[in-house]
Amino acid sequence: MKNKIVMIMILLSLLIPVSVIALTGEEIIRKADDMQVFETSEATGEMRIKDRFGVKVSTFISWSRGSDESLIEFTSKAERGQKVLRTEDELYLFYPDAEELIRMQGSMLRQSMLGSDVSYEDMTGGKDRISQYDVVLEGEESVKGNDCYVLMMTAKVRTVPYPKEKVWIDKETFLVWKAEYYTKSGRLLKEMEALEVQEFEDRLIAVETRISDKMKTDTETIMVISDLRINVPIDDDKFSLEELSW
Amino acid sequence: MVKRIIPVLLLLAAVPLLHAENIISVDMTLLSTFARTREIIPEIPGYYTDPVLNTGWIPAVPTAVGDTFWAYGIAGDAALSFKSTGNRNVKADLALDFLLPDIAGTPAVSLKKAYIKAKFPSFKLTLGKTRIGWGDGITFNSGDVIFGSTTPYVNLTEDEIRSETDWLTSINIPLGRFSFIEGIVKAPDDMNIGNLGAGLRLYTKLAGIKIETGYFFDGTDNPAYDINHTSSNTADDISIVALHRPYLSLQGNFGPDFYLNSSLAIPAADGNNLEAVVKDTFSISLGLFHVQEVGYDNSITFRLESVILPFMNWNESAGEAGSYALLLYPDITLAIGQNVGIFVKSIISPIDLSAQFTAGFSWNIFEGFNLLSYATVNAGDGNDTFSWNKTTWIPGSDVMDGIMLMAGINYIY
Repeated sequence: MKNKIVMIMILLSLLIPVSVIALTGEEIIRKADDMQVFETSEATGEMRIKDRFGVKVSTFISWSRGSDESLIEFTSKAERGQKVLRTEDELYLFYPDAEELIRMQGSMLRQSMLGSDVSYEDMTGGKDRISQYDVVLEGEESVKGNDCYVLMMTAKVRTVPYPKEKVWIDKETFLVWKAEYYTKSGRLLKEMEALEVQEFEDRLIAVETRISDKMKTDTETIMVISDLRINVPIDDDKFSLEELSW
Repeated sequence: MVKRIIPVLLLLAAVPLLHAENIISVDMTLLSTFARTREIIPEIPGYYTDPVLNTGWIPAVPTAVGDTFWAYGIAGDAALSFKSTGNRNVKADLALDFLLPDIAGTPAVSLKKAYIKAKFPSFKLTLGKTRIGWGDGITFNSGDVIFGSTTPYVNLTEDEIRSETDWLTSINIPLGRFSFIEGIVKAPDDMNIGNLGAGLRLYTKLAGIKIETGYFFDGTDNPAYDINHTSSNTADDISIVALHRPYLSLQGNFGPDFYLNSSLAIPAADGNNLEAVVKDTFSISLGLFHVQEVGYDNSITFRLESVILPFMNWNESAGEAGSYALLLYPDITLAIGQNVGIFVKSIISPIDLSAQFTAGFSWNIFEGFNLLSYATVNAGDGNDTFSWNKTTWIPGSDVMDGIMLMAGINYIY
């Protein structure tokens, strides 16, 4: 009888929807981060930077392995052949015209990548958002018809790009539908929203996102992933200096 | 000149026929330039006053430098590049540089790059005219034993301050993911095998420090290579026909990023006054780099490079321009938002208290389109490394006497 009760309790616990189990803010952030990591991936895409003079487009192809290794090659004319290799703790750049390998460390990582809203530091691996931010689960809201957790993240360290971030994370898929970036005093700087999502290997991935700068008028950056292949075989030497300088 | 261009034009004509994905791009910079410069009085040949009687020979008058005046012209350059990427294991690039007619009156077309690279399972092969970057440093790099990066006379308005290319063959062999060895043979300009260059480097990482070390045999003893000739006695320089150039380069971070390079030259033949040559060529370059965020969406970058030749002249009275023991390159760049950059760069010669300052502004307005403006000012006495009024003027080489202002555009398409 005792065993039966234990068995029923186990079965019942399996039937309870995940969302009913109270997740902490840290657990939600960790799950959202995990959803973005694949064993390997290969993607092509473009970054459209719009301002009052028009649209500038940078195209790229990227390869990644786990959360720590990636290689990005820019294919648009102004930056063609420039590459960025990211490993667990550092980052290398290759400029084809100068045939020069540059190893980035320290403050160099804070430089903007191709004038975009993405810094090299944003790309470095081993990022532990939980150790960098205090996370508070503020409540729940619907974004584009999707039930989301609303979390406020306040930086514990000064090395992060924004002192405060507010994120809306899907309760079922853990996709980040929306994010707002604030100054320490609470002034809104930037807003990110997922415009289009696709399912890959049972996970929802944002393939088109918009980042709008709230301090400027008529400016936004649209990031589009036009082709994404998950868990494709990638050679070990893809994430090496040999491949970077090729 | 025309004969040199014909093979290049034939190559260009063949490019579209090649079965490969060819990418053609043009990177053009045009700058309206105002410069304070010097009048050149051309050479006047000697002649007889009376050709019938053959009397009264008037001697020739050599080229002379006249008064200063303000000049205006369009300066700039354009690179036309054909890249081939049809086979994932083979790459090729053909790039021409057009130096537009400038106020020095020296228009030229040159072949900047023409190379093929092939990737084999265990090594990479590069053959042709290209650049190989050894050591670290934007302006001063003692580790660059192939092209030399220690001279103070550079163009601070260029994106790449050091961009020389040469005909070479290189083989790069990986030793794991973050280490490699690289061998290079540089073709001599005069086809004389005794004047070739050859070298080897090792690139690796140890305890968070990038370590690069190597050696280059320099068969030409290019006098433009070092800050100085290898001796204050020019006759000694000419007698040295080849040099061994070992180097060491380190890069790491201790708050700011740093890079440290050192090299020297050893005469290849006996009797070339080993001690004097080593003393005159031993150089150390040190670079520091730091980025600081300024307000919202802006950043300011600080770069300071120096080159030290410890055995050269540490006081002004003992030396002459270009032979001092210390040079500095400070560079402060403010990036405003994503599209605007303002910088001040300088080459400073602290020993003779002279400097060249360049302030610049760039604005990326459309895709690949930038508005540019620069102001360059020299400070120093007439015979210093830099001077407001030069006492010596080399026609065809010297352009600016004290100040130059430029404004124009750069377009990549």
